[in-house]
Amino acid sequence: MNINNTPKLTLFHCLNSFEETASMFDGCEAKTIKMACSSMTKDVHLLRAFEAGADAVVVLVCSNKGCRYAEGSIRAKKRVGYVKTILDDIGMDSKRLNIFNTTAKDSGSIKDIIQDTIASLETIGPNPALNHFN
Amino acid sequence: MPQKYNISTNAAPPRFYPVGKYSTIEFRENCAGSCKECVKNKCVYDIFKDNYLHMSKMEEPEYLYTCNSCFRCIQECTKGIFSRVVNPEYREIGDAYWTPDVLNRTWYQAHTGGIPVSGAGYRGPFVGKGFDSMWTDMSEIVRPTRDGIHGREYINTCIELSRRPERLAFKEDGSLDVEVKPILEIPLPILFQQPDFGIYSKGVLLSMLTAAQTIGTKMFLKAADVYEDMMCFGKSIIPLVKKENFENYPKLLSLVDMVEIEYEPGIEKTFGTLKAMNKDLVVSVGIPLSADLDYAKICVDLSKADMDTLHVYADSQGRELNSDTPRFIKDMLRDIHLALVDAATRQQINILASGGICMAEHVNKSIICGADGVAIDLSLLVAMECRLCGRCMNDLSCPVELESIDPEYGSNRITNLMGAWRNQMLEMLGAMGLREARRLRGEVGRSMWFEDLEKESFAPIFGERKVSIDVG
Repeated sequence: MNINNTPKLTLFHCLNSFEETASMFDGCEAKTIKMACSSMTKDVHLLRAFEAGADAVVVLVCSNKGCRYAEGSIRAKKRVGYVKTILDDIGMDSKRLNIFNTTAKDSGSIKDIIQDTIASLETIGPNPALNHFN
Repeated sequence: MPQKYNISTNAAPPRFYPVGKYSTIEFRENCAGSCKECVKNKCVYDIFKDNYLHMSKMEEPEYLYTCNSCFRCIQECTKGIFSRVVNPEYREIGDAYWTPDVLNRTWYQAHTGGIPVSGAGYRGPFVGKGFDSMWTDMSEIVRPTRDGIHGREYINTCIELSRRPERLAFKEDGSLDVEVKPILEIPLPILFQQPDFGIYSKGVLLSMLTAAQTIGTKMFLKAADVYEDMMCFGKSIIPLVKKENFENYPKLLSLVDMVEIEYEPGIEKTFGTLKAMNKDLVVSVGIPLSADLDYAKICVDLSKADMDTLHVYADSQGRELNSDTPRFIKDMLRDIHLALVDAATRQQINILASGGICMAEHVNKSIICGADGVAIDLSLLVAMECRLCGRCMNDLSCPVELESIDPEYGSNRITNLMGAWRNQMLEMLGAMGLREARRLRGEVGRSMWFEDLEKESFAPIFGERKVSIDVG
């Protein structure tokens, strides 16, 4: 499946796991949502992002041991896991939602994650929910 | 019995969700669910009510701007699943002077019309820059009859803008031997002023003018920006004119009862011409508090001429203009006030101060430093939800669409803010044992200054301060 338009990416991240640098979002249209802690990501926010037109959603969390709220990133992973099952159930492919442990300083890895996500959309295809309504 | 002055407030919820300070981190997976003691229902400020209702429609986590940080929800949750976090966006709004807390609390006051409360108390530093290096003396707080907004005694917040005669003289038959000019009074020591930047749409200006008219104050507005359909606000407008252009506005000057002319050397000569256009016109002179001007001397010289009010301007953070080491407005006001006292003209004229007035306490503190009243500008924009993001200065869209504000709604928000500020002024005046805002003018005995306290308390023990401290 080919993507005709620029892919849309929604990125949820906690304060410690992401810092935007130049050309980080080359090749995609990105919306970033900064949160005080990644555990503020609720299942409804992830689903709403797809409803709003995102082709892929990435959640960046700090390391499991580095979370200021002790269990924030673990909770976020559990919620992402839950939403992935919903995406599979409704035929949207859970691969378009991913979660990664990152640190704000490691901008190289973050850029790789974003570029890999954009590349994976070439095979997964655009958001089918959006196409369905269009 | 004459009716007491009061500002009626009506709640005006924000059109755009404000940048809230706090949010909750909830580990809902651990929620007991059936405990029936959910702290969200117990919140005394009911901040979760709306949040709970539209939870399923949220696209991103929501920060609760009406939270007063009492932390009851965190303390009382039976499962301990709550934590409080500060919104990262919140820390980025405003600047070092117009801090996020100032903006947030201004929005809250403009929304509710009530005095802001802080459940967790004051957790800031003991002393800060500018107005934060002086405190008001609340030692009279024990007087129940003069207890601010709740006391039986009426606290008068009126100020005059017209010149007062030096002394009265009488003829042999007992009639007055001096000309006593009409008194121009406003019920609140706060005037409005067109901000230096922002969206000057008709809706924005009409909101400010309508609010000024509602509460009985006046607004400084560039004469060129007074549209024909604003003429109905005549008495609420103080047109700003210059020596070279004031004669272009004869109609406007005949409608208003006060005008402000920009200072330039020799400006005294134009006062006669101005008053010839409207004999009852109260004349104010706008003087920039610039480091290259000897503003105290200028004020003394002007006070001896036929004018009524001196309006001194600092920058939006209350600092001296054109200076690498700017002084703060409180010190500059003090100099001007004392220079006028020395020249024995202080009782005759009035001083209005502009710049850096962003909280209710700054009004009282400016008056203590020697002003009669203050003029506010950016606070008016903030009351109408402005975030001081500065996007409009770069011709970018306004995040709260100020250009399309309904004047009725905008004026309601500004009126609410003024209601809240006046109540805080009353509380402070009551606690200081004063029944008149005019009695507070130059009354430094009702204040404590950090520099003085330090000298009195620590100098006898530690000697003179070796390292200077920047307290503005």
